[in-house]
Amino acid sequence: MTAALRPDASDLGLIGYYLGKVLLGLGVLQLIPLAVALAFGEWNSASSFAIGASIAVLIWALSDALLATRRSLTWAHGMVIVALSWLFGAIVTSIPMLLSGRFSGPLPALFESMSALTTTGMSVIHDLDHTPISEDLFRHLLQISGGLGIVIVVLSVFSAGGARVSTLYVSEARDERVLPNIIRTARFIFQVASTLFVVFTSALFVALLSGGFTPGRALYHAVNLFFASFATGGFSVMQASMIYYHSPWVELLVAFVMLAGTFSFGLHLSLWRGSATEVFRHLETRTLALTSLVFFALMTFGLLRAGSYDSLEPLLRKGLFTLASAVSSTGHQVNVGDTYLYDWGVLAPAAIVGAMAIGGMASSTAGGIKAMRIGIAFKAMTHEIRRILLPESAMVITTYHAGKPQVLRDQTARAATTVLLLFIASFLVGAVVGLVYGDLDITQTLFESVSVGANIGISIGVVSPEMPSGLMAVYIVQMWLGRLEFVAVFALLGYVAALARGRAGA
Amino acid sequence: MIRGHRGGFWRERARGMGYLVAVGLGVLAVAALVAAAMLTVMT
Repeated sequence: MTAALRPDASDLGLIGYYLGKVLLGLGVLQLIPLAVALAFGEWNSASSFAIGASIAVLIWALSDALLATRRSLTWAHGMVIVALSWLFGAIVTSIPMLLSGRFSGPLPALFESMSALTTTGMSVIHDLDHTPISEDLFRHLLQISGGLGIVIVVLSVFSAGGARVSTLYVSEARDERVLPNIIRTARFIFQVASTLFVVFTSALFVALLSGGFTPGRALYHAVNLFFASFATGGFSVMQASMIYYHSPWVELLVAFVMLAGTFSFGLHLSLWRGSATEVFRHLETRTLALTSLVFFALMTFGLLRAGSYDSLEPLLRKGLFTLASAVSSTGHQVNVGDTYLYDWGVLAPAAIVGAMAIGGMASSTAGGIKAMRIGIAFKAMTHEIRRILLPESAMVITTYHAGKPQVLRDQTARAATTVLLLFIASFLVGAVVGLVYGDLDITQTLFESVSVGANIGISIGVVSPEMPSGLMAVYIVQMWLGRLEFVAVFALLGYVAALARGRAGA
Repeated sequence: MIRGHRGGFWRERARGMGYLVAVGLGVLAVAALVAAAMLTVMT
């Protein structure tokens, strides 16, 4: 490892300058719920958003006045900016939540904002069913912003050129650039999101309208359902989540949106361009299809063996939807938490845990280890086995298809397995900390820890407004680490250590 | 519109949506077949 000089004041200034821009974006975002609050006469919410937005804008104004620079970003800067942006972004957006009075204190408010931005979807809000329209909209706006990537979204808007911010795109756990230019990539992501928004919000509006909703409520629920589903976030307007709607059509439409959220933006580009064969050839699609099929078969076997369901409809509406919610990392629920513990036997919840751990595709809005890493790890494993079995002189080359034919390199395999192991470590740490609190068993703590650490949001009942503060704090860190896939946070820790030691690893 | 390929503004969006729905229905069909087969065998 080469050594670099200790980060100096200009490095910290550069980081602070870009961090200020991200916080400005999150402040400007609060103007939308502020306008809605004013329109609907939700004065308490309006004042919360006005204060929250003012604080964010004030921080930006100070950073812009004191730290403005034209210096270029290095990879280290990018990683540190992204890690800090998600942390301070969650802190800043927790301010209006705290002021709303719907959370027990600063920690639960931070949990909610981190859960929203990282598209986890676990909630510790009090009395969700009677939350003002503007506050619900804010929670869902945070999910779609986090799903698309707050840093890249904000900096694509506020920065003139792509070159200076392209390093941030990869730092934000988006390792596959869809188009060569970062601004065009961001524009394509917006195009996909806006097209899906128009199509599926309209369809959900019609489905809810035909289900007896008034036009206003149908639109309100349709918009929020789209945001939560495409972001693979899983927040809900109602405490009962999807159960509230009692509608197979709503569930089907939401399942399609979750599927769209699971697809990588590279795959969306292939579909838009008409090269659909890529869907069947890509290592990640194949891995996701195979693992999902295995988990679905295991779950169905478990459900039938436990006698949970005895006909096709509940197997699909309860079982398949839950699996889709897990694979896509959305977290929409069609069962109450206790169901997994008491009615689903042992095998079916285990299959859901497995599906949650893997999650969706890399460079999508989904969370989890990501199917690409599982595919790469499997390829690496078969590569090693072949290397052992074949004669010593044989040259073993392993290939896979990802956009184009690729040769498996040691560096790729090492990076994939490292992140995979870190995710597993995160799941285990969360599970063990849960056990420390005594009242929970390993099934509950492991299920919840995987759900939180992989940014899924399906709850077995551990997360609640009354949960222990220590466990809540661990879950906040797990969500942060999981969304950034560890790398950016570790880079931040390395940067802090370098500041303290006087030398930095570069 | 994405530069460098055939298709207009609406056409590429319609194609993307069409494929998405087709993949979704395909997933549903496979799941229904697997569940129906397991249901028949196990009950």
